[in-house]
Amino acid sequence: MKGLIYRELYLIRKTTVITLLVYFIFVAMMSLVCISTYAGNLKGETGVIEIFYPQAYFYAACIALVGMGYGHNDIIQKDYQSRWQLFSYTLPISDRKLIASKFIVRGILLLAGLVLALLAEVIISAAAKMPVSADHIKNILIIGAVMTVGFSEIPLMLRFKNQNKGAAVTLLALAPFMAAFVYFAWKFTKFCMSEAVRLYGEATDETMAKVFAPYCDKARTICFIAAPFFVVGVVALFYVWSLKEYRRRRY
Amino acid sequence: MNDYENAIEIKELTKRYDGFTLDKVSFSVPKGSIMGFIGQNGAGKTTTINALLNIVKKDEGEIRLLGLDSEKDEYEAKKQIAAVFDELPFDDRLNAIAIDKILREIYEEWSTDTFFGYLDRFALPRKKKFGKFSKGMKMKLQIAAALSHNAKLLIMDEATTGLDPVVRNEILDIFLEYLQNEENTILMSSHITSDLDKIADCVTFIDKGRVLVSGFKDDILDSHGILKCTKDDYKDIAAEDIVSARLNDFGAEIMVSDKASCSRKYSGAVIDPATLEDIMIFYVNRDKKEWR
Repeated sequence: MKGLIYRELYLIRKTTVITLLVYFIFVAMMSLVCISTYAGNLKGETGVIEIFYPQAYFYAACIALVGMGYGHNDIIQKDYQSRWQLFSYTLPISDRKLIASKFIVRGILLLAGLVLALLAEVIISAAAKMPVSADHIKNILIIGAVMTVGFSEIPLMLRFKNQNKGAAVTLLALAPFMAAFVYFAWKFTKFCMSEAVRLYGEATDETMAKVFAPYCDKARTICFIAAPFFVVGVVALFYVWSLKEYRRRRY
Repeated sequence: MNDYENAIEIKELTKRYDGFTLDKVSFSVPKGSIMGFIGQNGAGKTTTINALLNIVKKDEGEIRLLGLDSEKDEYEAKKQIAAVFDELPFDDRLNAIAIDKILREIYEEWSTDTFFGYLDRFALPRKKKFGKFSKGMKMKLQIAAALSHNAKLLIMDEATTGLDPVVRNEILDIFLEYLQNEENTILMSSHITSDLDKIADCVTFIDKGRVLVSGFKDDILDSHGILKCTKDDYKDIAAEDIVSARLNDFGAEIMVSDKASCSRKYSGAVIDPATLEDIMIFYVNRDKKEWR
């Protein structure tokens, strides 16, 4: 199995290097913005840290987590093209191990993305002279958990053989959820507005944020508790599906 | 170590697809021999090979590889089998050093020295990406990889197709060298019968999913012949002696499957030796009986 893991990591090394480059450039630029608020041209400007700090870690986490997994997305498509997929059936390795190796690679990439995301939080906090935020770390871990949905690339690519079809089918499956989410967002905004009017007399950004914050905290806590179960469930589901697809491909 | 006489034993192998059936295919490949598996495109060679390698799930039948059941003992058998396809199954972005690192973790008996030994012998670069290799280089690389984990059985599907004669000869020499070890066996599917004329000990001929002829090559070549006669003489040839007949303006060429008996029966007739290619062509046209 080590050979299979090595092969996949070797094939995605260039994308990984580019992701690291983008990540470090982004984190360095964000840090420089934070540093310049007390030791540079932004010194004396108000509200800069308040705007940058709560967002910077989020974008850095997205770059790290999405970028690290991105290179792996088309590996199965290329395996079909190079006929490795066919050759893999001739190897003295069980189907379970073969599929497990793909999930291990995905897991390694996800963990690497999480480490980078946490590192970004530490670096940006240090640059902003702020303590590392527990809320930010929770958010990063929740984003990491959500990213396990990306493991669906393995069974989808085994089934559809190319990224376009896989992506189209994924969007098709997600369409009702996206519509539901948009509807929920609209209803929730409306609710926050009416609550802001009821509690504070008017619906401004500040009063809306006051209404919104406790719900946001509660949702984060629920997601944080649910995340491990979600991760285990999603990975197990996609693993079983991948195994089924891999075996089905034996015509 | 399991003991076996035949490296491959296939009994009544059946696989049904929409529009094609591999119909009760049976043949065996003796240990230490090289079997040519011939047939035209779509005859069922690749399906049979895929069933051997358990890439395709068979519907019926039994397959034993190196004395082991191809399904129950799949992984034990596959440790000792090397498969070579018509195209290199490695990503274009890889190079020989990377393939060595990958395969040495997969095959217990992988030998880096043997692999790099073959690369040096074939003058293949170690660091060059496979995407920049020629077709001949890719095939040599695939064979180098196949021969580097002490495989007892080499299964090749159209491995020499599309290669120039020089590279093909070089590769055939390697196979003969590989067979110096009497434990080693080769099954080689091809429609280039001249290659098999050179190196095969046994031949199995498959057409439309059915095995038509299987046995030692010399026996097959000895028993078959092309009887040449005039159109008038052709009418006197018994139908049961004819595999099929190629008619032309001057007479007929008739494939007979029992040359000795026919030369006694038709004493004046000229019976030329048949090549594997002749046998393949005449058998493919057996349903028509007469063709031009």
